[in-house]
Amino acid sequence: MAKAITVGTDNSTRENIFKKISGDVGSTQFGPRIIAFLNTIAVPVLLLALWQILSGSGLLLDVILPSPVKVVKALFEMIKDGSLGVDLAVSGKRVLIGYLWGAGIALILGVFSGLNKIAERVFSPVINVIRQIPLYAWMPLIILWFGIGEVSKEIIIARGVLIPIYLNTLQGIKGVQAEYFELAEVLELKRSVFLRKVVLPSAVSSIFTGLRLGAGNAWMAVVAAEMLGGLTGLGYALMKSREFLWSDKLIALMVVIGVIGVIIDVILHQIEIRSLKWKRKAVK
Amino acid sequence: MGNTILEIKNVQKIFHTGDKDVEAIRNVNFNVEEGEFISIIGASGCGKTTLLRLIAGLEKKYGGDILLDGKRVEKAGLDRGVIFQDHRLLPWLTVEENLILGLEGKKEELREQVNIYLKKVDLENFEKVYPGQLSGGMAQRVSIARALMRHPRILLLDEPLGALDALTRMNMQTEIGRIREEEKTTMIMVTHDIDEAIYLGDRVVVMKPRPAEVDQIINIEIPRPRLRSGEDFAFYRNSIINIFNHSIMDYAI
Repeated sequence: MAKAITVGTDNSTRENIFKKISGDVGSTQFGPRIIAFLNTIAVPVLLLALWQILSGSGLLLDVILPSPVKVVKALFEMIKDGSLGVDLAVSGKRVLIGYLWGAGIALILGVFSGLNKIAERVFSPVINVIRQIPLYAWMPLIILWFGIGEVSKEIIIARGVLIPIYLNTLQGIKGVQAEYFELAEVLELKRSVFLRKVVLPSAVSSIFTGLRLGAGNAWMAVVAAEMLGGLTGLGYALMKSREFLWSDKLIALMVVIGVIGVIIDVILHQIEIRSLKWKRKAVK
Repeated sequence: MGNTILEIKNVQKIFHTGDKDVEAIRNVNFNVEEGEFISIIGASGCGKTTLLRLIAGLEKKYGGDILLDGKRVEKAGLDRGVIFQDHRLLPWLTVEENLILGLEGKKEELREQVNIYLKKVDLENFEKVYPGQLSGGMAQRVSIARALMRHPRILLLDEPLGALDALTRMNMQTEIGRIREEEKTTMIMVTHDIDEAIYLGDRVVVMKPRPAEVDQIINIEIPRPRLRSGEDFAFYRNSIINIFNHSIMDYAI
């Protein structure tokens, strides 16, 4: 009995129990962190080793599979002569413009369709049909109409962005719990307040999922669009490397594309986490 | 006390589900005086919550009349505060933002109101906290503060303590009793806990199920503050249990 009372009133014990529950203890120790890190890098290290062994064995031609060292050298070369920077800037600008257009249109249509049954009936079937036609199937028509200049590339990117953002926004807004509609009735909330304070915040998670999927699509679409036409950008650099059999550059560019895709996703994810402050603070 | 604030006259509610009509409430009649605390008690699913939702205006279309200050209830509104079983605070808003949601006025004045009402529910200095950081009892107290801040004519509580553990529940019953003494707000509470109904109610409306009808209305004449362990408390508890036993027998036969 006496013991039970001490546990209940002793603050340090309670804090420890709390830490254990919330998993804080693990993060202050080194061991589990190292193991977690090893888990993460296991497959990449293995692949890298396999790559080194294969390329060094003489079984494969250098032009088919250059060694990792050669790829890194090619990467530094591209950085030094400035070509990577130029390609990145050009592709980045296209992605940004295409993404903003696509995301803007998708968000407006998505919010509108989520709030209004008629709007959903009007837009959803159209988006659904557009969705069924692969991005690559759109490209010839877009190029026929808009040429191989900037506009057509931006449209291709916007098209790639549109679908996931529209669908996720729509879903997020339609997912507002019925309980909150009752609350709005009871509190006599104005429509604008209800939209800002209830509907949008409850859809934020879903909207961010769309924004992140869209960003991934945008980055893929720009490379695809540049491979079809034009004389600049990462996609063009890829095609050129293939034509000249610069396999080391080619692989280096692929790595760059992958890494940047991950960075974009991480940034958006961080923004998402920031905007969901209340979730971080909740005691689970 | 003395003025009738709410009149419930021949109220009937039928739900149309598919091709079947289900009568949820039949011929309910009683009045509520200003400042009174009414407990409505009945078995789960007996329709007592439906009755409360009708008063709240969350269920539309009903037979008979529910008159609040003489005006027929047709939709929800700020003159009726509602406490749901879940606290129904918005998780992405702080306690303060939840309390002032939809209210208009100067920032300082609203903030002052927030402080006043948080003090009333014993949660001073909690205004910057998110609902997820609160315990169930605390969150429910915030939701009571939210309703009181809008100065409702009547407060409707729909099994407000149903999701809480037994100890918190008892503390919250005391708390609700205290708030009611201080605010003199008219309250109607739906519950399935006999002790809770007796502890808080001036009158206990006992309902029988399917469709919900008023079985008996019992005046609780125990002076406040009430003791749950008192003899008179036990007397009322037994009377209500007896009523339930009879209605269950009726139902079984």
